[in-house]
Amino acid sequence: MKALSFLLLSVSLVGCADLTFAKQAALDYRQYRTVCISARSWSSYLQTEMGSSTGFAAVTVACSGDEDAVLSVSVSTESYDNSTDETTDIDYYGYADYELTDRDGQVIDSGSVKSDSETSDEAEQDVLDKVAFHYHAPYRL
Amino acid sequence: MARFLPRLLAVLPNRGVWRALCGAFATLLVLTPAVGLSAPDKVAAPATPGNAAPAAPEQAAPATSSNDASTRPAPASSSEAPPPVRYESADVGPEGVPDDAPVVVAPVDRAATAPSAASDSESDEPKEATGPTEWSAGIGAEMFLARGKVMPGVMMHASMPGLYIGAETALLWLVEQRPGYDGSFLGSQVGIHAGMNVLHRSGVDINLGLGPDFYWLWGMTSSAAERALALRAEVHYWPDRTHGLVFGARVYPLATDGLQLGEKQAGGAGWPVLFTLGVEIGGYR
Repeated sequence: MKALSFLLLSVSLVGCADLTFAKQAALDYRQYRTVCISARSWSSYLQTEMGSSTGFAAVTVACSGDEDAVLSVSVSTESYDNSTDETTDIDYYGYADYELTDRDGQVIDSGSVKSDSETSDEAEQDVLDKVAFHYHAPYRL
Repeated sequence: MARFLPRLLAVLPNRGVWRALCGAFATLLVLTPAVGLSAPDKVAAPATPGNAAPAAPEQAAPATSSNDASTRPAPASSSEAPPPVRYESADVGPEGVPDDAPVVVAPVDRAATAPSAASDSESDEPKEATGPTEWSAGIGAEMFLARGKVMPGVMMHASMPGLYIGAETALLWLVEQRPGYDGSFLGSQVGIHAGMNVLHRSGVDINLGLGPDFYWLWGMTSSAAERALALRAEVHYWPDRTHGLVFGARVYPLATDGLQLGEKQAGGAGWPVLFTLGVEIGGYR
């Protein structure tokens, strides 16, 4: 058992695993460096969430037409009854459809995300967080 | 809280402190078995005519033997138990001792070896605990051995013959900053697992199981989450009845795209088995 203990210890000390967290780029950020967000009242929130971690070099909410792309996001929520025999509970699904277009109006990227939260605001924020993460800068950590 | 904690954790130790912590943890892991194994973790039952006496002719010699008197320290009085004596395995005859018998045995109680006192000695002394046990359980600290990351965590397990369950959680830091993320704290890991207990004896448990591993990279962004199905093996070794060592190994046959076990950070194939080392407090019965 003593030999087994030190064998396991030795094996584990020399055998550090390669555990990598990776994210691929959603698009070519060298070609599309700036983006303008069009998401009604959530534009500022989405801009903040994308922050400095996005793959875009600059993110604006006041579209001037000079941006390389425009990100349009529509958000909606839907309540559902999650009650049990003993408790009454209303939860919310959040949905977001997003579409990124270039200056010519051509769709570069699009998709939809869904979330589940206890409040309507949280459901909206969660789906916007997912949209922001979709445009996160690529990484291998 | 979710936004404050990453900032707090990010200003915690720098690389030098991490290396010191890892060194201290590794030292603890090395010293714990060394200390535990140097102690007599298994003590045999007193010699009786049915077990130790035929196996150790030297022990079985009559108390009146002059040879025995010259080689064994005599007790201060007949009622005081003599100190334990360590016998080398070469001293023990091959015919009566199984291979897994403990090296350290209790001193021979000369009175107990007499036929008239044998039955009393058997009933008073505890039996040797080398057979299957009823259960074992522990809670402790562990370190994931992942290249370029520091992953300290806590774990618990409970096992019984044929079955075990366990859970763990850990925090993740990068040792060095990487392109795409300017921080060092990544998030947390949670694992739940259950499976077969394939060896369940006093002092050792070996478990094989599976369960989900979740990685939430909330230190980086609230939406980054990865999942994997882990196939795991665990060895729990108890140097004594309350302190244990845990060695774990796992692979991820199924995982989300963003979780790559066995792929180097710079690309290319890497070591695909994630080891964990830990210490635990608990026990077995």
